[in-house]
Amino acid sequence: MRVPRDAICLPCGGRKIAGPPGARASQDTTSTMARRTDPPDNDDLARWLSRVALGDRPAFEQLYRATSSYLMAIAWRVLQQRDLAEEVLQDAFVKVWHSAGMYDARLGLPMTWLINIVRNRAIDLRRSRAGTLAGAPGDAGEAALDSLATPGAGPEQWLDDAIHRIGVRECMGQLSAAQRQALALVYYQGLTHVEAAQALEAPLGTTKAWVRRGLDYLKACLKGRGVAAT
Amino acid sequence: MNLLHPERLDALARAHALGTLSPRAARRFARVVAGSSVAAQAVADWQAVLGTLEEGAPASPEPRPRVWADVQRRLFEREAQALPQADRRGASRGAGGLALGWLRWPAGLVVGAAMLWTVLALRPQTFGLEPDAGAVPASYVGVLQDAQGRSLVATTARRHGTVLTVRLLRPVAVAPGHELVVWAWSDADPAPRRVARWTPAGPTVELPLPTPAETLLGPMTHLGLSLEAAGSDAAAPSQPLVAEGPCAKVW
Repeated sequence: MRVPRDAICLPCGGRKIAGPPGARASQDTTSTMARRTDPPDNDDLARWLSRVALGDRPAFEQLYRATSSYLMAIAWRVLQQRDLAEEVLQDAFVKVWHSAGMYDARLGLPMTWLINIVRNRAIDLRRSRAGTLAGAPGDAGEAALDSLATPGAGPEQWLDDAIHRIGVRECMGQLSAAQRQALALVYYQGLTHVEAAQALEAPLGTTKAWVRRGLDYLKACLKGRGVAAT
Repeated sequence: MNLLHPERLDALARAHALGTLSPRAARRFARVVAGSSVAAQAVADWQAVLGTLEEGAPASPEPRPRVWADVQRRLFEREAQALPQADRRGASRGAGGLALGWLRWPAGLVVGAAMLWTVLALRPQTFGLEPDAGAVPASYVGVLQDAQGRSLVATTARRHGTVLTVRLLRPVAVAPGHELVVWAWSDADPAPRRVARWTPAGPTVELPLPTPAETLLGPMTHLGLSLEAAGSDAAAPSQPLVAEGPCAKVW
């Protein structure tokens, strides 16, 4: 299935996003929680990225200023620790400086590209710190389970918010609670299938199927809504 | 196993975008993605689907100012260090330090002259001079050919220089509102990177490079020329290349 880039990536197109209520607080309690910032316009991002590829430092700073809060939320969501999320953000922007020329506008929107750099780095860090992070391997997904058990505060709520905002609630309503939970844990917190299975106390094969089915549903729902096409 | 089989590719692309492949499988699949536009598109499609889930992402602490400072320190360390050192020298210089400074300057002059002589002897190109050896200076050279195999453009940039000299070997029709753009890429990383742009007003032009040629062209193996809308900041050629050729190191 081919996804039209300008249609599907709602968070990346500069649409207004309200900060979801009741987001789970960071372990760093001294910090103030910022409202989720609007993602910048993709045209601006593409322009800045192309300049960064040519070594333009002011464009690099503009890119950072425009996206860092938004990207910080993605790292923080996976790691749940401010210091580590900031480490990921730092690593990600160093990578952006070195590889901006590799961004291919034919493949995806710039914000999607940036999100993936941050999310992949956050997941790598999370897995490399096995046993030292809440919810990391070795902790048997305890924190992940806690977050699911807290109404309105964890990955499942974030998934619900996303489903509502992109207008596929009815379609995604066909997924069971377990399927939604599995998808939310794996996507938002970067859990492996094994960790998600542990957190949900479900067989590994079943958990994998839940995640796969959840994603296939999401893709089909987006397509059905007319924002995705073959 | 054919990883590009549609169903298998979709499953792998989904897992890759989601981050659930094992590190070993992820590395292997990343190599497949790097060498296959079909696989790259499959991953990109799943990344776009997953991107919609960002609509529900929560608020988080703002990154502290030190994050940006650390990014700059890591990337531009040499320059960042030079400034504070200069500042520190200035700040620590009291009345006694000032007197000592006067005593120091002749010694500094001698050391500076020695360094200048060394640089001139070993790296005359630093000051725009050439080694007195009668040899062509170390340069990056490209001869770009069109689809018919005719040489269209020659380019050259000194290895440590910041100017790309471009010579049109045949006339190139450039419509009003358009310009020529030189791109570079490597076999390992086929994503093109813009090198220079200009609107031809004569057969030869000197174009500024954003970074020294060694940095910009060192990793590159190919050069390409495309016609683009004037001022376009497209990250890749928007049309088929007008000419293409190797980026050769001549030294």
